Amino acid sequence: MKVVDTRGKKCPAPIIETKKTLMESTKGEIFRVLTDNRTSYLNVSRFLADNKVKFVVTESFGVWTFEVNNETGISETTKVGEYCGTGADVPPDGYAVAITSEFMGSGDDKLGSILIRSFIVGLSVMDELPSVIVFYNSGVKLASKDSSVIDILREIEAKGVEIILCGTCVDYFSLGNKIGVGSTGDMYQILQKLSQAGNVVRP
Amino acid sequence: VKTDLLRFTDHGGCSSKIPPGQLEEILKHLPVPVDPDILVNIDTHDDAGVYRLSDELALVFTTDFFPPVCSDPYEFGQIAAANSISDIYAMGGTPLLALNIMMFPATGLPMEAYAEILKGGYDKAEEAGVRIIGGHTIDDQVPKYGLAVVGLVNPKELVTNAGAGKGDKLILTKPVGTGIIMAGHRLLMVADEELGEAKRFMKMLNKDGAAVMKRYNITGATDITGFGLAGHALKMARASGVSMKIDMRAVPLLGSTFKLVDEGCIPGTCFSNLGYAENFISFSEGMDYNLKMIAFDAQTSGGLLISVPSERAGDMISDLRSAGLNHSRVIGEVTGQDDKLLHLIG
Repeated sequence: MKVVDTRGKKCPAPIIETKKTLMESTKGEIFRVLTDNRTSYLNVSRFLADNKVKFVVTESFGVWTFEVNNETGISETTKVGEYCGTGADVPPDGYAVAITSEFMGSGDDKLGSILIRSFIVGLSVMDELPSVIVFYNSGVKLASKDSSVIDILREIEAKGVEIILCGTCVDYFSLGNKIGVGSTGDMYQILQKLSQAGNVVRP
Repeated sequence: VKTDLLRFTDHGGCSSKIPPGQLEEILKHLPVPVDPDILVNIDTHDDAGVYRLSDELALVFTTDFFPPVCSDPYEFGQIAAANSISDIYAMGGTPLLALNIMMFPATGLPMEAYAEILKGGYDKAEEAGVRIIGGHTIDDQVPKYGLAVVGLVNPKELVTNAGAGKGDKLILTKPVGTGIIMAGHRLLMVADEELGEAKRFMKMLNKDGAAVMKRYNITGATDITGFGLAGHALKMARASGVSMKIDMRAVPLLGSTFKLVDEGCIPGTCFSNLGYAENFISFSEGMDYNLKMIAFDAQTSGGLLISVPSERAGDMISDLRSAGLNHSRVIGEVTGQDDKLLHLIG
């Protein structure tokens, strides 16, 4: 049986090692975790209980021994791996939206303006929201305070969607003090966000 | 030789507070002074005490000090001072005067480190327009530093924990995660650059955020420190007689906060803050465990949590961002009081 000895280590190290072992274990595997401080004993207990992991704990001479049973196969159901490795704060299964113009499609700008509005309204009620919306070229005008879709964009942002405006474009259209939503970013950030997304949707 | 203040302490900053439950137990046995000019006392667990001098003028009075949050003495001084002054801003006041509060070992640490901590404090105070006019030092093994600060406020412009109104939106002005990032850094899970970002926010005064807040005639706000976002929201909801709903997915996070928590880097204070507050909080079904724990991360010199009338929230966000607070976001709303004071979603 694998033994994770965290004696002499303080929180959060024991939790980190417990979680790591848990994620690496197979369904039904049992392992032990040792700690010699009360706070870590309490916090590891709470951590396991909150995550519905089965365990028993015994104390002897100031050392607590957890016997952890990965009964449910937590590692096979949790998406933890997806957050690791890339250094990205966007899980790769999400999608990004790139809005490149204040109009949707080409042909007639009046129609294009109506279309982009309904696109953004539609986006706001999607079951799965994008992780990020990137605005560039004349698209940044949609994020100005007097834009007709500003309230909807703010609503989308309030739901946790990141909104990034191309800084060069904001300057080009002299929108610096009229920005009503999102924050400006440079091309590197835009490229990073788009390349990290699972899919990029462009109206 | 470079002084590393962190070797003196296991946990610094606002995570060094006495657990809130324990503190309440002690405080409830102390008499609360009665005086009609005391406008804010300990009853509402606010950021600072407020005493009326005239109809137009009141004193805002606060103190805060803690063991090192970073290795560099000068940076520690800056962070501790920004954190101490923050309480004045959170009450809608203008900070005016301060006294240094310092604990420092008479032997075992170079006196230059002492001077550097004070220098950091002075520079930050100057940025805030605060004059430091004295102080007191005690010989102690673990260094600790902070300020006692006096500010002024017009009683009619006072901003308190009790001023959140039903229907308001909640805006947060700084990203969350300083406690988690610092814990991760101690365990070598966080690179120096990323710690640098966290330190930048901890050093940042809440001055600009407070200036925007004043333009909007806000009555309810607090700053986020040792009890975590959820803990401070809870205090505000209780003092205001309302319930609050916070969507943790909308809360801006520092760098790799989420990833760290996902790897189990959950500081002990998250558990103690959670334990104290959870009876008053509901968690949405199937709430992400990491987001839940982040809500209880002790912040050092955290942002302002502002309760703003719903129709003005969008404009305020724009103004906060124009003032350089790029992470400002609506993270929740205020509702009528129900069975739980705080509803966390995520």
